[in-house]
Amino acid sequence: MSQEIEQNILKAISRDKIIPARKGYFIAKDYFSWIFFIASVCMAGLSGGIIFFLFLDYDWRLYKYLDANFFSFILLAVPYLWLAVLFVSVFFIFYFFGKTENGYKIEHGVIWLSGASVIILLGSWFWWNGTCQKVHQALAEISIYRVMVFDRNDEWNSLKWGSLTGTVINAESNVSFKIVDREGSVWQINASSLAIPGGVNIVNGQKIRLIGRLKEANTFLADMSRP
Amino acid sequence: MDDQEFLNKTDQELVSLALQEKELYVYLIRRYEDKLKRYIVRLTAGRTEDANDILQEVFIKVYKNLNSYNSSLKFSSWIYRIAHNETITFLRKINRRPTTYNLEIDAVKINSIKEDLNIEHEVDKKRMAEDISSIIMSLDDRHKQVILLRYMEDKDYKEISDILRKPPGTVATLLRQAKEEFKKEILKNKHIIS
Repeated sequence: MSQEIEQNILKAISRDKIIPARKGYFIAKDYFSWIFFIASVCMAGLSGGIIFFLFLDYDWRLYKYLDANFFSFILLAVPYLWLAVLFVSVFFIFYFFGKTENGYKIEHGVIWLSGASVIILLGSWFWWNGTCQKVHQALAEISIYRVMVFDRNDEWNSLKWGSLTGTVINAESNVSFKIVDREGSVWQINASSLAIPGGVNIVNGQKIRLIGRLKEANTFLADMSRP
Repeated sequence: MDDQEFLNKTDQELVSLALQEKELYVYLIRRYEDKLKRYIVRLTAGRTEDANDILQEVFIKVYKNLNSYNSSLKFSSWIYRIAHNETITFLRKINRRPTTYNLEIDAVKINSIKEDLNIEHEVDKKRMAEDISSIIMSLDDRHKQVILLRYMEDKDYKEISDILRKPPGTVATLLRQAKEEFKKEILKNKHIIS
């Protein structure tokens, strides 16, 4: 029986012309695991940094002026896309590290702790040197990103809560003018109760952020403004 | 070189020789055939016919991957890892988890289990091997695997860690849990018997 198995194995090796895979193939495989592992760490760091940046950039003071409950206001601040990227990156960190030749020897707790530390450090560095801001701004040029992150997380663009952002297109006076919002809708602004800082005039092409309430279709009563 | 000379060579040397001349691979096969077959039969709970097929697949896979063998690892751990993975893949394919199989445990192994698990008084001496065997086979898969490697294959923690590709701490935890589960089952059986 034993000899039979030996012969069967050798016959199968000859018949199917099986040859041992080259050493280079295994070395390359290990390198790829390391490269993807490092890329996943960088991606996790970047997404962590952008999440931090978006939280800091969120206009938290606006809450007291808006007609929104705090939970909904916080939910709007959560950058779901970047959170998903972070989770996927963390998954790949574990996956590719486990695929490296000796990765399995490291305890999961150690990987979690060191992974989290590296992500925090890297994320802080990306945020500190402006990479997060640059990436976020650059991606805002892509419409799908704008819809998913840039507009979605815009606390200044929620009519139901009483905020409106746009560009002045018809500056008749400081109390009555028209703006066009990001979707291209034109709004008549009634700003009779709007406190505009002295000496500042509303001019065409000016970007403006308003807090107030919807009066009727396409008419907005503004109480506060910010440049 | 005659057979005896090849038999005296280390695993590492046989790997190098097999890479140069495929016929010499037979010496590695001979060295591990019985051990691996026993292990596969244990893991598959006595599927001897299937074990032969799995064993062939294992040795073909080992040959294909000979260049990936890293000498920092024991060759036996590496080849057991491949055998283990092939067997688990097979068991997943057939989607069956048989539990009735007599492991044929010898007296040395029984003593080792008894001492390590501190169960001298819990096991019915006449039925000891039978009881231990049936309890091992009824354990949760992960626990059964570490118990088989530790007590049936006499592997230490590091070797088990290398075979299962799990951190040594995880192996220690699995073994501890497996022992607890084992003791619980022994006590349950004792209760039923008495």
